[in-house]
Formats: sequence, C-alpha cells, structure tokens
Amino acid sequence: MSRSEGVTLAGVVKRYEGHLAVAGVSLEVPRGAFVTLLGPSGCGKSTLLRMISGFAEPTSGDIRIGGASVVGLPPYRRDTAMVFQDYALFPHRTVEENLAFGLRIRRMDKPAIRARVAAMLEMLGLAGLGGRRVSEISGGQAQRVALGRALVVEPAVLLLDEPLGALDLKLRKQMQAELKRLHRELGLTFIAVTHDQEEALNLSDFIAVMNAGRIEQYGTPEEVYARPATRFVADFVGEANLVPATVEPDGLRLEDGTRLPLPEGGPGAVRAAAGAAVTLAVRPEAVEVHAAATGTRPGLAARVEEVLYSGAARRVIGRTAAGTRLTSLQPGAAAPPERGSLATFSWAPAASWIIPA
Amino acid sequence: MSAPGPAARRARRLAAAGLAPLLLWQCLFFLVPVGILAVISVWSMENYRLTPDLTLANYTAALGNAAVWRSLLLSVRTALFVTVACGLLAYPIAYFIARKVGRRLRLVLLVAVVAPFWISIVMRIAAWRILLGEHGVINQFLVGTGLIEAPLGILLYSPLSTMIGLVYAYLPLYVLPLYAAIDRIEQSWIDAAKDLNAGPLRAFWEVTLPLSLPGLVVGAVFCFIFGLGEFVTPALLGGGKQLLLSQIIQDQFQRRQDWPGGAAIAMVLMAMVMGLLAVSMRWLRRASGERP
Repeated sequence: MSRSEGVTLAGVVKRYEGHLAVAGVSLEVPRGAFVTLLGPSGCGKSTLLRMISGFAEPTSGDIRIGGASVVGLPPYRRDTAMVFQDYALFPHRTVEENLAFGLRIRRMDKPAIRARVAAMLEMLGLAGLGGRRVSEISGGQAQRVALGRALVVEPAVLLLDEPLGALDLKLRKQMQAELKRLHRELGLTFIAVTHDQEEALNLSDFIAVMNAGRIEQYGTPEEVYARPATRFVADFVGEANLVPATVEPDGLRLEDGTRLPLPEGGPGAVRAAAGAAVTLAVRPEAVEVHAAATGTRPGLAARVEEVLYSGAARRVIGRTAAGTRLTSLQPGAAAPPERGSLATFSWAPAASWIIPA
Repeated sequence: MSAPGPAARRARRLAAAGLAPLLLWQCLFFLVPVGILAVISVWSMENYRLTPDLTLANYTAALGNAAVWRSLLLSVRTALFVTVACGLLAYPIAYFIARKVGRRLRLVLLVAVVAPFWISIVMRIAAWRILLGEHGVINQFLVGTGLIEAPLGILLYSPLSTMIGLVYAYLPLYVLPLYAAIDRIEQSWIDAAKDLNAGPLRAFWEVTLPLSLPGLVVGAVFCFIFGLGEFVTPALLGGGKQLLLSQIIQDQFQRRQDWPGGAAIAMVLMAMVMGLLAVSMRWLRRASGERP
C-alpha cells in the first residue's frame, strides 16, 4: 500500500503546567517501519503518541507525516488511526459496525464498506463474529476488533497504545506474531508504545528507548540489546552488569585495579580519553564464574551472595569488595560455586562495551 | 449444592430487614390505597351512598364521556410538551455538568439541581405566582422599563403559566438520569470516533447521543408520567380554565360526590401509566444489552 508515510519528529517538547512531559524529542520513523517507543510509565511515550494522533499539541517542535506538518490539525484531520489501550470499542455497535465506522465517516459506498469489513474480519480470524455486540466477545477478540477498526481505513500511520497490555501472557505471544504478520502484509507504518521490553524486541524494526521525556537510544532491537548507549538503556532493556572503570592509555582499569583491554566500539568508546571515568557493561549471559583459584581469564573477584537454579540456567549473584553487584547467567552444567565463597567473575573482552559513567 | 452458610443467611436476613420498612411503606401508602380505589371503581352510588356491588358502569360512563376524553387529550398534550421542553433544556445542562466542569463544581451543580426538591411544590408554585402575577415581578419590570405599556395578563392563570410551572418542576427529574447516562460515556469512545476522522458534531451524533439514549428515555418517562397525573401546578397556576384529567378526577370525588366514577377514571389513567412504564422498561433493558 503506497499510502503509507514516514513520520518525523523535530525537537518536540510538551509542557504540562510546568512539568516537562516530553523534553525535546527528534525521531525519524521510516515509511513502512514498525517503531516502538519503549520506556517506563511516565517517560513521555504515551504523550508523544497522543501528539502524533492529534489529541495533544506540542508546546514546541514539529511533527510531520509524509513530509507535511500536522501541528495544529485536530485528530479528525490527521491520517492516523489509533488502537487505544482499553480498545475503546463503541459499546452500542456490533463488531461489524465498529469496523465499518471509519469507512462510513469517509463516505465510502455501502457495498465497498461491506467488502472491506468482510475482508478485515477474515484477515483477523473473526469471520462469523460480525453481528456480535462488543460486550459478547472475549478480550483477545476485542483486541483484534480494535486493531481491525484502525487498519481498515488504511491510515498513513497506525498508532498502537500498549496494544497487548491487557492480554494474558499466552494471548500476548500469539498477538505479537499476529501483529508482525499484519505489519508485513499491509506494509503500513506502525508506531507502538509499550513498557514491555520483550514485546518491543520481538515486534520492532526500530526501538526508541525513552526516559524522563527524552530518547536515550534509537536503533534496531539488536543494537539496543547488544550495545545499549546509556546506563538506563542497559538496565531497562535486559539485564546488565555495570562496573565502574577508568580509561588508561593501554586499556581499562577496574575498581579493584584489574586491568582489561579496552573493548572495541560501544557508544562510550569514542569519547573515552585516558583518565576518563566510564562504565563497563556486560550481559549476565556473557559472564562466567570460577572458583577463585582456577580462574584462567582476568576478571573481578567477588563474594558469592546467591545461587539460583532455574532448570535451563543457573544465576550466580556476587558482590565485589567495592560493592559492585555482578550477575552471571550460564547453562547450569558446571559445578556451582559455594554461597559465601570467593569467586572470579570473568568475560570475553569482546562481549563487553563502554558507556558513559 | 450446599446450604448457604450462616454468614450468607445473616446477610440475607439483614437485607430483608433493611428492605422491610420500604416494603411496608409501599404497601400502606401505595398498594392499599390503589386496592381500595380499584374496589370502589366497581361499586355504585345510590342515594349519595357508596353501595358495594359489582358493576362496570363507571368504566363505560368514563370512557363514554366526551369531557373525560377532552381532558385526557389535554393532559397528554401538556405532558408531551413538558417532556420535550424539559428534554431540550436538560440535555445541555446535564452534558455541561457531566463533561465540562471539574469534580468540585460538578457536586455543587448537582446539589443545585436537586435543591428545589427540598422545598414543598406548593411553596415553589406560590413563588411563581409572585413572579408571574399581574402586579408580579416580571410585569412590573417590563412596565417599569417601558418595554410594555400594560401588564401582561397571559403570564398567570393561563396554559402558558401551567407550562412554565411544569417545566420548572420537572427539569431536575430529567437532568439527573441524563447526567448519569452522559457521565458513563468514556472519553476514549469519543476520542476513537474523532481519531477515525469524525468531526466533533459527527462524533456527538454517532457516539455521545446514542449512548445518552437511556437517560433521555428515563427522563422522558419520568416527565411524561408525572405530567400526565399532575394536579397541583395546573390548579394553582392554570386558573382552572382548562381541565386536565387529574382535575376531572378531583371534580368527580369532591364536587359531584361520585367516588366510583372518579375511581374508574383514576384506574384508567393508572393503567395507561403502567402500560407506558412496562414498554419503556422493556426497551431500556434491551438497549442496555440484556437479552430478552
């Protein structure tokens, strides 16, 4: 569908009674992409979505859809369609009438509406439910109807506000796959808001991680997961060990004096002049634990505080003399260290990266 | 199925005890009088004495009486007018209270809507007589400002004053159910309509109005039924030039001393009201999504 358009946010700020909800966001959403705004509640992601849909106006900055600024246009003059968090299905209308609503408003003729609605029911696996009242369908079905009601008008941009938040885990997995399929088949631009990192990683072409009204990092799921740019992203998306370190001419010096080669790349590496305080980040699954005497790789010595076995993996949590918490997550084959013993937590330098302190 | 536990039994007894005064009240002051009325309506008058026999003559007489039909028609017309006028006035008021004001002001406004009920209807109607009379506040103001030369006689003791009094008396009855219905409409439903490119008017027409329908119907039923049997307001403000059905009934009882005849007309009026209630309740239940 060629109607799909990209979305550009340029320096968007939203101030509510002195409180800065969105503190200057610039973002380029390529046409046809699936972009997720990921962040904790209150980070400004929903406000951003409401500004794209027209239910809120930016205090300053510009929002462009397909190159044309939409600032100042009310929601009913914007070519966006929203899947609301609580679905917001019209309770006095049937499933079919809900789906047909946007097409009726667009003055499409009746046979065409019937055909489009029938095709959408089919596509969403809702065939046969068209005549039901919305109070007579399940939560998962309501979710599909909400999705269909927005998709059927073929908007330039589809907006999804925590689309799967109200579903139980099993249904959520199923709908993730469904959403991905719909995005692929329809080729529309999707912008979703979620606080669920797994959902964001699964669905998106690009993720914008937000915190306190700002975008902390914008990249592919692989980039965001493998090389988080900030402490916040490293912590919010997956788990990370964060070790304070100092840059030296020939490598890194950790808190206890351990020297490691400087990892290549990483968002913090560029600015890491000698003497600079940085944070070394490494994922728990890249960390191995050895009894203190048998360690072959350089690593950090830490007292083992907890050993948690979960079947597929074993999690070992330790704390260094300086108080840094370290976590290792390894397939649980090797003999685990004793709780309370001193162990070496080590990792391949290539698996770690540097972020600003 | 196990027997209900002691807690459940106690709760049920408590509920019964709580409802008992209400049921007793209803029996004493509604069912018993209506029962007496029903019995009297099939009795007859002989030599100005109530005579207990079984006759339908009162009903045939009532239904064959042109004056009864005229006043019934007038009652229906009055009630219809009052219902429509109250609905048109109540909607913006209820909409404003439910959707446009903050929580605190909303409470104040709701209390203001209900407040007139705390004063007797007779007192309130008397106040209208002071406002509408030939030397009343409105006429004195209009004459004083030179807008009219002589006081308007039509303001009091006319169909107009009856209508004004009735609309005033019933407006709260319409505002409250409408407010309750409009208050239940989720903002996100209206947002969804706008998001799908319906302008504000279209969104109102497609979402807000249909979802206020239960409130509109309940308010209309209240107004119409109360209007149909209204006695005080037309008696005090209407000047007795036009006889509504309730006044005919009163006339039968008091002036003509024909209790069975009055009772028969009253029973006819009540049957109409009950029928109307039954129909509107069924409609409401269907509209609110209950399966028949």
